Amino acid sequence: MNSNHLSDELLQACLLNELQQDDMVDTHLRFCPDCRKRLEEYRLLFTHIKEVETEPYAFDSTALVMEAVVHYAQKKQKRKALFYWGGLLFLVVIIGSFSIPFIPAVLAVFRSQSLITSLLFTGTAVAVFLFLWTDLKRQYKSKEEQLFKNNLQPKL
Amino acid sequence: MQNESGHLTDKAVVTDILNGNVQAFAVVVKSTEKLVMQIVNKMTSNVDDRKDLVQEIYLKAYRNLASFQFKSKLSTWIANIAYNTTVNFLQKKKIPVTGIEGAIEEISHLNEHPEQETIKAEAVEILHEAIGKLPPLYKTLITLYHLEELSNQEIAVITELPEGTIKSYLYRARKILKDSIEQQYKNQ
Ligand SMILES: [Zn+2]
Repeated sequence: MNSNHLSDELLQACLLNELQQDDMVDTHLRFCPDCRKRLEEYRLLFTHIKEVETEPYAFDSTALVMEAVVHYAQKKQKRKALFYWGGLLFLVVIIGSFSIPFIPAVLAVFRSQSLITSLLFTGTAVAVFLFLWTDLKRQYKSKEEQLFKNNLQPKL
Repeated sequence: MQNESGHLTDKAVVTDILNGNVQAFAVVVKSTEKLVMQIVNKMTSNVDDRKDLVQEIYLKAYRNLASFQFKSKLSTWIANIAYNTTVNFLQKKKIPVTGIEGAIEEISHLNEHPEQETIKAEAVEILHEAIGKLPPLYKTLITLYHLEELSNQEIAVITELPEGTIKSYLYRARKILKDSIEQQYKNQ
């Protein structure tokens, strides 16, 4: 029998199936009660480790986490909304203040025309605006649907 | 949207959350909290610290969810965040993560407690105590490998350590644990 015993590392690897089939190891184990005993000790260790109890949770982590996450998401949402509406208001004020000097000129155009021409003007403007607006909405909706559908298809 | 095992796939859940369904994040927390708590509990002992860490870990995960690449399982990705956050916390508190010498000394004296000599101590109990005395990293590796049954490869992703290093840490930890049990039985 070999006087060099199997190392602890080798014995562990044997039990964890990290080793290729090795006749040297098998033969040594067959003839060496000492290494067989150590192998058995490791086998017991691996069984016992699985029985070590996990500490019970002292708190409900899901509730704790969701409270923090929802709070964070709400804050983020609020910040985003504030930024959006603030920016929009800013734009309206700027554009509005620039257009004030032009208002009398625009009104003068309408005043010089007959009522029918004025109505025609306004009607056409409203029709064009409505057409563009609905088209924009339609495009947005179809894009959203497409995105939503693609996103829910998990890539496996 | 469900795979064979009946679980929602990572992709579907992540997409749902990114589309604005915050509550869907609870599914992620529920499915990963055991793993995360194993890491946090093995490396820290104070309940308030644990609460802070768990919140910090999942907030980080939520904030960075869009950057998750699906290159690993979502649970592995979150476990990696958990590991890094906890190690950072320990380093800030100047608590050693790996120093093993003190632990070996402590474990070898485990059976010198008078109240234990009278009881025929169970191997599992000794083991429980011995694992508790291991340094944070060793404890975590033993738990991830033997209790969570993760592969060396998955543990390497979580801890960002080379597989060789993980193997040698695990080897040393198991030897210490085995010796602690043998020592106990010899003394009886
Ligand atoms: Zn031998």
